[in-house]
Amino acid sequence: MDETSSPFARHRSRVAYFLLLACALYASGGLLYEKASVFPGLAGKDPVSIHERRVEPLRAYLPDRGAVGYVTALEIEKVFARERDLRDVELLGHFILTQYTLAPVLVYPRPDRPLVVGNFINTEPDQALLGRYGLVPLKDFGDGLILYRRKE
Amino acid sequence: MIALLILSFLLPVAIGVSIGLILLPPEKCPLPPLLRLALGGGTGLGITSLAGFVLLPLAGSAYFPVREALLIALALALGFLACRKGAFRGIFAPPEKEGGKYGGLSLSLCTVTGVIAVAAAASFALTTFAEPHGKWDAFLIWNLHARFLFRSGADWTAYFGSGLDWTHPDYPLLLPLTVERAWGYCGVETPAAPAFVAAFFALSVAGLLAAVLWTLRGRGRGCLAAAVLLASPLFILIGASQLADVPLSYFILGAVALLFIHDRRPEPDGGTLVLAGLFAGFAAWTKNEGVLFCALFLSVRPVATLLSAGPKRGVKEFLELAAGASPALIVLLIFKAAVAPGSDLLAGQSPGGIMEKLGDMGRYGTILISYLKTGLTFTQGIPDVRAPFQPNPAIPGIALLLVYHGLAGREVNPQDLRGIVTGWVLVFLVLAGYFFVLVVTPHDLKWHLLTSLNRLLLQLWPLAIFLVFMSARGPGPAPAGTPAVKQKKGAGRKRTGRKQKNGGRMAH
Repeated sequence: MDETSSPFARHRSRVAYFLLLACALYASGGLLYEKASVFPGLAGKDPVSIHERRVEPLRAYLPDRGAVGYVTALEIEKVFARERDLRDVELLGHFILTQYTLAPVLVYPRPDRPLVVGNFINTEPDQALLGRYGLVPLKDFGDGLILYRRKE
Repeated sequence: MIALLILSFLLPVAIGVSIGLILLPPEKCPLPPLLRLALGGGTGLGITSLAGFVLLPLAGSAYFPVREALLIALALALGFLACRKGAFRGIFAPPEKEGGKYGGLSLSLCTVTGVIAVAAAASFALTTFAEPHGKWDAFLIWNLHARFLFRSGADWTAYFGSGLDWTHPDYPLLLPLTVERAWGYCGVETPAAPAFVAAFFALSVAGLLAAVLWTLRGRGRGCLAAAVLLASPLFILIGASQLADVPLSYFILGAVALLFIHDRRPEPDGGTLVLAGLFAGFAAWTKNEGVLFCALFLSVRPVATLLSAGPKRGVKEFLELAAGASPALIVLLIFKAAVAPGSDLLAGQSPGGIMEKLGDMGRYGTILISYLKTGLTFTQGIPDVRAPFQPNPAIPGIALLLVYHGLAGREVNPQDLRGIVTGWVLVFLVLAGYFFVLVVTPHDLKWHLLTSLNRLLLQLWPLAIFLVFMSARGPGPAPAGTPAVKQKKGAGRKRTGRKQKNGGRMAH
């Protein structure tokens, strides 16, 4: 007898796809429940939108094109290293979102350009680091966002 | 806004569907409209992105109107050509009914799949609204590239020569140019555009998987496969995160699925393979991983044909596939040679350092363990890198598909054998390729594995589901007239029967 027509094979086949469908229903229901239970609302409360609104005022003080430097509480090598160690992506995220907001202005991760964006959320600028690069505040936007000019 | 976004997709869909009608004329290759639409959408977006890149030197002046005028002219020309060939006459012919005692079962299966699709759409929407700019790689790479292209005007090359290597300026531009074009239609840079593009590709993958299996293997298998894909949390989450992995999975699936359509045609010509090559080329134009897939695709299929049907046919198939892939590959070559910087995977690598890594057996072990662990869990969702390994066998994944295949049994159409072998060889070779890229990666190996392997596997997930359902028995028999032959029995006789009953139709 052809296996396709044997009752055992047919039952086995039905069990197989009922199992698959049950698991698919469970997984899709579970994901929907998870997403609905942590849904923050529609009001732009995601970190990217919040950061964009925070950094956006800088644009008026920057050239339309060109490059700026960047400084934060840690030197950028340490910021990248913390992300590589899977310890902390916060500071790197701030840097990346600053570039994302300010494009097409190129944001370089070192404070060695004539204009430097300082980003110090919940931290204080390291005065020694600022002094080493000759950074002078040009405009303080509040909330840890400062535009610096570099003394030649 | 939504109307403008939909408007921006009309031209690509018209272009893609027309190309499909020309290469796969309905009278010679009767395919259901849903399958033509699923194939046409991505084809059209690929074409518009190629046109966008070629015309980028006009950025800052008449870029948008010139590109759109040319695309309208192309759509009209292709539509006219398809019309001249009589392609529109058979396109809306009603499919034959799939009846029998499994009809009701299949209908309820479609209903359950519909419920899963609604849940998946809701999860997708919630993820998108929660993170409208997408996840990390979306705003670090894909949407950032789109912003540079959209905002830079005539100065668009500055970014690619900027040295901002951590934003991967060497990555191909299909997705950024698609988003940039949608912004052009909206007249404003809205996060709705990349979200819409992401939804379009996710829907296209699910639609293509369902439609091609429905066509080749019957409604039940099409529904079941779509249900498995849409119930894979990682597919929904990465799809909604606006990354390029789901678009890449679409082109990979399309390229391989077209091989099966080719092999099912009673009198196959080169059109199907040219379209398959086009899909493989677009895979390369979507993501660097797609270059590996495209190279393997252009090699594996002709070799399989060469071994089974002789060198003449193998060479002919290679030329047809290469002809299809060439537009995207030429543009990619220009981009890589003249615009993009080198890859971060090669930066700072010396031959000695690469050899040292290749000789380090510990790296092989680490990657192999990661392959096994991630292989068992990747569909479950975006992993918490600090959480322990926790497989959940109830979430559709590789293990569940294997259990399904084991329980349901094998049912292979002899015409599909070459496609099945080609598909699985491609899957294993692509995975092997990723393996060796990881062995020699200049990045920290653990970091690279944790941040990429689940997405690399996701790129092949729709194809793996497709291949499983091409060889496993499904709910109900394969469609009447299709030679669904169990293992070795009577393959030749049933093939003849299919032609007689079905008049050469592939579906139903």
